[in-house]
Amino acid sequence: MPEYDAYSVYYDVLYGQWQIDVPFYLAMAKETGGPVLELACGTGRVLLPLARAGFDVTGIELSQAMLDKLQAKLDKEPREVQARVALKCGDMRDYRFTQKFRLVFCAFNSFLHLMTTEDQLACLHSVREYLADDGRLVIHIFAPDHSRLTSRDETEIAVERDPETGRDMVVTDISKRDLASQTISVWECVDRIEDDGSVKRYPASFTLCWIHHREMHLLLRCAGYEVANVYGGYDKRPYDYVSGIELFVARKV
Amino acid sequence: MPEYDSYAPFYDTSHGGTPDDIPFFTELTREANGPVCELACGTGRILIPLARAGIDVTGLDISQGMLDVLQGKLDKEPRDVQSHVALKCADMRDYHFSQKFKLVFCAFNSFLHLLTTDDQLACLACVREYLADDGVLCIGVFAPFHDLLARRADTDEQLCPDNAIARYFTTRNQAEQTMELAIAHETTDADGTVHRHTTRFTLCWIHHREMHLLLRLAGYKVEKVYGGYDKRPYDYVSGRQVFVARPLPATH
Repeated sequence: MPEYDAYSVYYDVLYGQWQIDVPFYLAMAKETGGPVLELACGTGRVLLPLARAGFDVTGIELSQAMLDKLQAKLDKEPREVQARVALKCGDMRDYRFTQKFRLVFCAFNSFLHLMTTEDQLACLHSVREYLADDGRLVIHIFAPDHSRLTSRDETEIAVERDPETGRDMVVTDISKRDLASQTISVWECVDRIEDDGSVKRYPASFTLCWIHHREMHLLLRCAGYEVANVYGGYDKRPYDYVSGIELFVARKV
Repeated sequence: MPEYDSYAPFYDTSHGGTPDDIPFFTELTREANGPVCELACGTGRILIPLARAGIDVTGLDISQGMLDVLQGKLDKEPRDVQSHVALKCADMRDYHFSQKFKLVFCAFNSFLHLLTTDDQLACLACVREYLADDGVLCIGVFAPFHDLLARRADTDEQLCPDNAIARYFTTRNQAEQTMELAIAHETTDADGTVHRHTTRFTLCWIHHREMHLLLRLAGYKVEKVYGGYDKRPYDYVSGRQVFVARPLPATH
């Protein structure tokens, strides 16, 4: 998965400081108990706080480069935190764990990297095998906003603070939507200013889909789950159209 | 279903002008080569041409008012056309025919009157029981445009025969994925007096992948999806999605 490898180079520069969803997943893990599995754990933004909080947590991720970043961070953690973490480079569509997990979650739109209904169902079926009978599956997706889905192409440019240098960095996203196939191709680059004033550009590209609300219910139902809750925010506000995000909490039927 | 009953007298003038699906369903029924069932047959806009073409067709509709209009038209048809038609006033979510049909179809967005996923699945499960193992299910729904879905409300007007105007007022609930439609049907008397008859009902919309999942969950395999009744392929701008599906073996 070379696209995610390129993405891993600057992922933490963009999202490493992002903490908004961490308390939610910590609370979920407290509710279900461990062990916990994170699907598409990336560089460990959510996984590491869970391990620090005392949960046994396994991360599965398609990109070895992402996992390398995670491992480097883990190496700096105390021994007992390291001991609680297991990492697996694998494809969540067809990986089987022998262990059972009480909480399986897929944070921050990662599920949307599964581009087709078939891919999504394959993943959900796989998870069903290793989710404990009384366990919970949590999937975060963005709530599609029809007014944004009207344009096929969209360019977003944002100036943000580079967390490593403290200087401004420019993030450019060029998204091309295919409205029939319900997919988005994103070309993204981060322009960082070096110590000598030169600009270094880190480009990556990846694809996403979006999932409509009723569609997500049907996917879970098709794969043998029932939906326990749908939250519209990490504060557990109810889902509605303007909530922006959808947090599906499901259990096995 | 009083809302559909009150709509019945106006349905044909409001919607009579969109008959491009009749050749499509005629061809489909010929291919099916056996008894046909139309779900939500309404006033018989499609059903009567099929019967005239010599096809045995059963119409199911929840509104007796709609079926009364259909019966009134049927009474004017020749005997042999009448003999091809059977009508049943019932709810397609839980009606079971003892007969098996080679083709079951639901045209022109009628399936969208089933407002929830559970209603839709209940209907598909019923149909599964009276659709022949080698039969075909065809459902036509509009392909939602996001720029319309983004709007909470809009209006549309259509000129109908005899200087009548149909005014459509749409209010959408994006979280529920439903839209309330108010249709004001205005006719003008010879002396200029305007009569307005208003009907309200609620529809949902179904996204493309969602419809695939509904059919899959209910035990069907999608064979084709057309973007129109001229059999153009489905794409986002086609405006329509016409699903043609077959039942999977019961052991799926």
